[in-house]
Formats: sequence, structure tokens, C-alpha cells
Amino acid sequence: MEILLNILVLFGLLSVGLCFIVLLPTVGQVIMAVFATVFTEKAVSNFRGVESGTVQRKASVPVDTPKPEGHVVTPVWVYVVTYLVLLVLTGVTVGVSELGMVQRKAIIAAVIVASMKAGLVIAWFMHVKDGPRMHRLILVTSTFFVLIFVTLTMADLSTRTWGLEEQNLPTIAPS
Amino acid sequence: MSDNSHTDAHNEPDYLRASTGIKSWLFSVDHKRIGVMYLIATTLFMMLGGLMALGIRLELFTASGDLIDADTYNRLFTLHGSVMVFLVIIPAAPAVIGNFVLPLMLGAKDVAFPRLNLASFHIYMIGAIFLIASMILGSFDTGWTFYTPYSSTTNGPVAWALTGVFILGFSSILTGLNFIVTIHKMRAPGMTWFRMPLLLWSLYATSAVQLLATPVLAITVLLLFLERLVGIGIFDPSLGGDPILFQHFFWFYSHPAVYIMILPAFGIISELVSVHSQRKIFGYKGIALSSISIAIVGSLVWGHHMFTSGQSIYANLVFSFLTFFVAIPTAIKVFSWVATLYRGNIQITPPMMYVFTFMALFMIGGLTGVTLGALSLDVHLHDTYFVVAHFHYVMMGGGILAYIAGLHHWWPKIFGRMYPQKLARITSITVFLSFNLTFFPMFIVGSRGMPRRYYEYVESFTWLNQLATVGAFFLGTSLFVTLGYLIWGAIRGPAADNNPWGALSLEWHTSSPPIEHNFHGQPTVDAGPYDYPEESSGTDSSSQWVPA
Amino acid sequence: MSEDSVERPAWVEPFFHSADQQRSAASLGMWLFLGQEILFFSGLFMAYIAYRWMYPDTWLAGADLLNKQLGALNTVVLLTSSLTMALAVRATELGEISKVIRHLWATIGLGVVFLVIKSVEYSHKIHEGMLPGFHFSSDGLENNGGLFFGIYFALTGLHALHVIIGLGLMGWLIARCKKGLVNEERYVLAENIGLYWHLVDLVWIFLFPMLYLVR
Repeated sequence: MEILLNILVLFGLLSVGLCFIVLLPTVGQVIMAVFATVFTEKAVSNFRGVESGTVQRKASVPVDTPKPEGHVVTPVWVYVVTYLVLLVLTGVTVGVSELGMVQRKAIIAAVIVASMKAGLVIAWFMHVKDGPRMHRLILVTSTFFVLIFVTLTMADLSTRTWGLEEQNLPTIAPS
Repeated sequence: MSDNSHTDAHNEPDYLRASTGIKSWLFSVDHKRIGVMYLIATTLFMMLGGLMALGIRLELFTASGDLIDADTYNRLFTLHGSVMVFLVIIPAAPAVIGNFVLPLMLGAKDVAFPRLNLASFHIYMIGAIFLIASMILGSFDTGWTFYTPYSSTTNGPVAWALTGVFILGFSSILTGLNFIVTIHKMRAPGMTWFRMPLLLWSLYATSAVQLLATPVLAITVLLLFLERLVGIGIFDPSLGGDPILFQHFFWFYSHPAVYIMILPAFGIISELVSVHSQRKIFGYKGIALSSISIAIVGSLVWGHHMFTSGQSIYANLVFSFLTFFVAIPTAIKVFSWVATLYRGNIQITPPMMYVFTFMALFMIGGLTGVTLGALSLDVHLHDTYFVVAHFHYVMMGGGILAYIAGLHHWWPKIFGRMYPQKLARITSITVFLSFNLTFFPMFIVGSRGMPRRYYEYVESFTWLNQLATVGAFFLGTSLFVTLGYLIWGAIRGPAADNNPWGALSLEWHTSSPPIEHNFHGQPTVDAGPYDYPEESSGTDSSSQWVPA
Repeated sequence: MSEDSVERPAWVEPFFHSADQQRSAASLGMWLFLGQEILFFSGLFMAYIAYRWMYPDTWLAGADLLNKQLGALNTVVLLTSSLTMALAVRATELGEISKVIRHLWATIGLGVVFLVIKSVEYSHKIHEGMLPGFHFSSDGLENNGGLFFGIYFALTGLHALHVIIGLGLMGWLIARCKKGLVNEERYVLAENIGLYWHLVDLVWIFLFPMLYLVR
């Protein structure tokens, strides 16, 4: 039953990790929202000397020009805060690895932190947060296919020895 | 040539005559010219692959290996497979018919990235050179599947073939990317998603599979290349690697690749069934969405190629179970086509003859596929001629013959001239008969246990194999005649009408051949592509084209 | 013909109706390309997961042999370059071209630093005989160590190749900026190269803990 448990945990982990990536834009939004309340928007922008709020792309563009996909320029402080959070999370992931966790726990911790970092990059640096939904769909689809690839291949690898142990048949997979 | 363009008030030259010289073709960014260049290239490679097939069949005429030796035989079937899969079937329908027809159907002036389109043709030719080079440089005999550990240890020029496949993958990815962006961004005003001709839906699904699966082939081939170059060990059991993992990698691409081959064929057939029976397609949404679901479900079933490879028996169960689901969207399509034909005004035109051929052959191929998907049967039939017969019924009877049907349908649009119709009808019958003569005996010998990829066989299979060989030569001759009259038609045939089949989609509402920028002015659309008059209602058919 | 009522800049290709259509097409194309890149890298991650499952002990010992400090430093370098890249894209959208060029040079500089650190790591590993596959001669790992380092070199090598391509793309972008072919209307090329660079960053974000940290 130990092996069954292992497999369940592995698949659970893979799916949680990959679902996490799928939900990354939202995760990134949440993290940023938390940070924006902790270090208020104003404090950050005072620090950078940039006026707060979003800046329209170009002041000289006539107001009446229709912009079908309104392109909004993100203020600098958002990028800087994202970057700082990324640095903190890098520190976290290195720090966690020093705790001496091995295998399952270490993987869970690493996947969670890495997914949070990826979420920040995708949501803010890559503008998925306020970009067309199609971009999100492409990311989700690719990730879904990676999930299929990993899950079904591991379905083979992890069960290959089942039922073979009693018969003492040669196998290359570990028992 | 001016007599065929009665609606042409502008007297603009068509795309074939817009500019001259070999350079104006080789470096043209016009999607129509690129399509024609792909047509020429794939036809040449198809002849090459076909000649190899005839060589294989000739060797199998007798039970003993007397004509060629075993090594030559291995090289022949390897190259037949690689050339037909990577150079013919995968690019044929999307890159020839897709390139030519897709922007026209959308009412666009070109694809979204015309230079990228040209680049993917050049990349295709470079990849083809590498793949063909492996034939000249020595004995490339791994089969088109490159299974490790043989492919990583043999001395043949496998690296050349791998480079070729890697490069060809890029061509395929870029074409897919281009088509998806074109369908998203270049639709004419009023061309909503559910007003698109069904060919575009299937090309969309095809492109999605090309984008999602081909990169995995690229990395597989790259790893195998590194395996041969530096012994990286990922697929090498002596270093702890797992050769079966290679099969997972390979089939994660190559099973969806089967749908890259057959989905455009489905699209072509959906188009032709409606046009040549002058009846509104039955179940438009069902056919459209089943293309997408085939793309998704088809990506879940690759393990059914590995039932006997040492894969876990539990994984076998899962893959076998999932395989049956592919039959559902496919059946939706087939039933919809048949329902479209029912009480339709069926025109016995050459494209329609090929549609019937497709339906019969594809049904046999598809249903034997379900047979092979059943785990218990597959253990018996795996690697026998039954499998060979099955995938030839699907790939050739389905993919290639639908492509030929499409060529017959759009030929007057591509070249502005008509091929001899009577000859085309007769040839389509001989193609059908000789195809069955070639491949049906293989089902029988396969189910009795004749293994594939051997140049000798048991004496008792002789007469069936001789039937197959005779059939193969008939089939070759028929296809050669087809090629002959198509070329004759393109050069000397009578000028074709702008809309010889009475079709409603946009590509038939420009001149034949189209002008360089496809349309005079911007087409707008306010109807579906299949609004043929209902039986007994007496209404006129309403084309998609809205006059400006 | 009535579509042309909105004036179209000269740089819009003749087969597009408007600048917006051209921009969104280019952007979508890049995103699809990124989608296939994810699948491309997934092959190696798949190999990593499979062999980690098969040889957990080797992976435990293998992670200890990698230089965690250099890996973490490289993470910081790459994250910083992502920031400068994002700022470069932002400056493009505002049309501040001299700023764009400055940020791009900063990004290129950081990319080069990344490659230098990587090559220091590589030369160290090669010196110790930790080569992939059957070249493996280090006594640090007894059980299939060549496999671990095969995947290590394949993953990081492929990533480094993407970094090098990214540097080339940025150089090209700078040249286009200087020719005046990039401005607040024509920002998509910069945006796309930025997206590519962030993807390189994303791959590293997963690659770093998987290879260096997880035991």
C-alpha cells in the first residue's frame, strides 16, 4: 500500500503544482494586492518619484482616437515591487531548502514557491493580468498538455513493477 | 486566358502571371504561390515514397528474399515511412490546400505572417534535403519511429535523418502558428467563428496539435541526437536510461501527428460533401467542435502504440480505455456527412467520387483502429500486417485520398483550368479497386500472424501477397494517370468557370485563378458557407459573398 | 474599400486593415510561440521527473554536488534582467527610445553576466569529470550519476542557448531603435522580445529549485 500512497501523492502533487500554474495570474494578483496594501501604493511611488495610478500611453495622442484594445502603461513601481517580491521568494526557496526537507516535502515546497514566482512574472511582467484572455488560454492549454504528458507517462513508469515483484521478473524500474 | 474572368472588370493579372521568373516564385510571399510550391514538392516526394513502396511490394512478391537483400529492404521501408509521414502527409493537406484556400475562405488578402510562411517552406525544403541525404549517405534503417536503443547504437546516418526531422518540425510549427493567428485575426467583416467553412475549423485544430505536439518531437529528436553524439544516456539502459521513455516521448508527438494528417482530410471532406450534394451540411457545430475534441482526446491515447513494449499493464488499460473515446467525435463526423448526403442533390463529380472512396476506406481503417485499440486483440495483432493495413487505410485511404479529392475540387481555382472529368471519374474507380486489392489482403495475412518489417515470409502467405503486389502496381499506375491528367489540365485544360461546382464559400467568388491580392475590395459576409436551398422550398442558394 | 476610412500608418502591412490588427496578430503569434516553447522544455522536465522517480538517491546526492550559491546568484541576475526588460518595454510604450536602449543594454549586460557565471559552473563541473552519460568519471555519484548530469547539462544548456538567442534579439532590437523603427506606435516587437525574455526567466525559475535545491 506504501507504493500506492506514493503514487497518489505524486499525482496529487503534479496536479496541484500544475493547477497552480494554471491559476498563476490570479495568484500573482493576490500577492500584489497584499503588497500594495502593506506598502501603500503612494509610499512606493514616492520612493520612485512617479505619480501614482496608471499612466496613459502617450499624452499627445488625441483623446478622441478610438483605442479598441486600450493599451495601458503599468507604472514603474509595480514592476519594482514585483521584482522585490521575486527576490524575497528566491530567498525563501533557498532558505526552505536549508531546512533539511527531503523528497516529497522538499518538492512540495519548491513547486509552491516556484509557482508563486512564475505567477508574478506571468501576471505582471508578461501582462497576462490585463491582457487579452487568449494569452491566458494559450498558457493554460500548453500547461494542460504538459500535465497530460507528465501524468500519463508517470502512470506507466510508476506502475510498471506492479504485480511483477512476486514473480521475480527482471525489471529496470526501482522497486 | 482572358475569357474565363467574366466578372473581372479590373483586368488585373492573376497570381500565376503577376510576375515572372524563377525568383518570383522561390521568394514569393504570396500564400497561393507558396501553396503551389508545396504542391510541387510534396508531389515529388510522394512519387519518391511511392517508388519505394513499389520496391517493397516487388520484394514481397515471393516468399523468399530474392530481389533485394535484407539491409536494402530495411532502408526501403524506413525511407518509405519517413518520406511519406514527414515530407508528404503531414505537410500535404495543411500546407498545400490550407495555404492556398485558408486566406481565400476567410476573405483575407494573405496569411498573417507571409514572410514566415515563405520561411517555413524554405525550412521544409532544407529539412527534406537532410532527410533525403540520409538515404544517399548510407544505411538509415531504424524505421520511421527511431526506436532506441537500436537508433542510438546503429552506425547508419541516423543523425542526418534526425536533423532533417528536427528542421521539418520547425516548418510544421511555424505553419500551424501562422494559420491560428490568421484565423483569429484576419477574418473578413461578418465572418464569425460559426460562419467559417468547416475546413477552417479542422485546420485550426490541426494547427493547434502542430503547435502543442511538434515541440516534443523536437526535444525527443534532440535528445536522441545528443545520445548519439555524446552519449547523454537518457534513453540508454546501460547508463540507467529507459528506452521505453523514448517511446513515450516519440508517441506523444507521433500519435497526435496522426491527427495532423487526418484532421485536414476531415475538413476537406466536410467541405466537399456539402458542395457536391448541394445541401446544407448536417450538424455544422457538431463537426466543427468534434475537430477540436479529436485534437484533445487524440493527445491522450499515445500509449496504445506501446501495449507490447514493456509498458505497465495498468497504463495499458488506461490507454486502451481512452482510445475508444476517439471513435466518438469521429463517428459524429461520419454520421453528419452521411446525413448531409441523404436526399441531397448528389453530383457525381470527380471530387465526389473521391469523397465516396474516402468514406468507404476510412470507415474500414477507422473501425480496424478500434479493433487494434482493444488491448487483448492488440497483443495478438501488434506488429503484424494487420497494423500495416489499418494505417494505410487511414493514412492513404483517408488522408491522401481526401487530399486528392481536395486537389480535384480546388484545381480549377488554383490553375483556372479544368482536368478531363470523365477520365478522372474512371481513375477514381480504379484507385478505389486497386487500393483495396493492395491493402485488404494485408488484413488477412496480418490476422494470421505475418509480421511487418520482414523481407521474407511463410510460403502459405504467397498468393495473398502476390495479390497485394499486383494491386500496388495498379494503384501506382492509377495515381500516375491522375497526376498526368491533373498536370495536363493545369496547362492545357479548358478554361474553368469561376465557380464550377456552385459552391458558396468566399474562395469561389473571386476570379479563377485569383488575383494577387485575392479579392477586388474587401469581402463582407452575412451568411454561413453552406446555405444551399432547402429541398422543395424553391429559394435560391445564398452565397457568403455580400456585394459591396 | 470603406474600411480605409481610418487612416493607416505607412508601416502597416498592406494585408492588414489597421495598425491594431497588425499589432494584435504579432502579439498572438508570439504567445503561440511561447506556448510551444513550454512544450519544448516539458520534454526535459519530463525526463527529470521520470528519472527522479527511478533514482531518488542519485538525485539527492546530485543536488548536493551543484553550486547552490552560484545558482542563487544566477537567479537574482536573471530576475534583475527581467525587471530591466520590463522597464525597457514600458519605455517603448511611452516612446522614450533613449531609455529603451539604456534598459536593453542593462539587460544584455545581465544576460552576459548570467552566461559567465554559468560557464564558471560548467568549467568546474567538467574539470571534476561530471560530464553527461558515459563520459561521467567523477566518484561523487556512484549510481547513474551520468544520467543526472546528462539532464543537468541538457536542461541548463538548452536554457543557455535560449539566453544567447535572447541576447541576439535584443541587439537587433537596439539596432532597430537606432534606425527609428521602434516607437510608441510600433512597440510590439519590443513587447514580444520582452515576452521571450520573461519565458527564459520562467524556465529558470522552475529549473533552479528542481536541479539545485530539491533533495
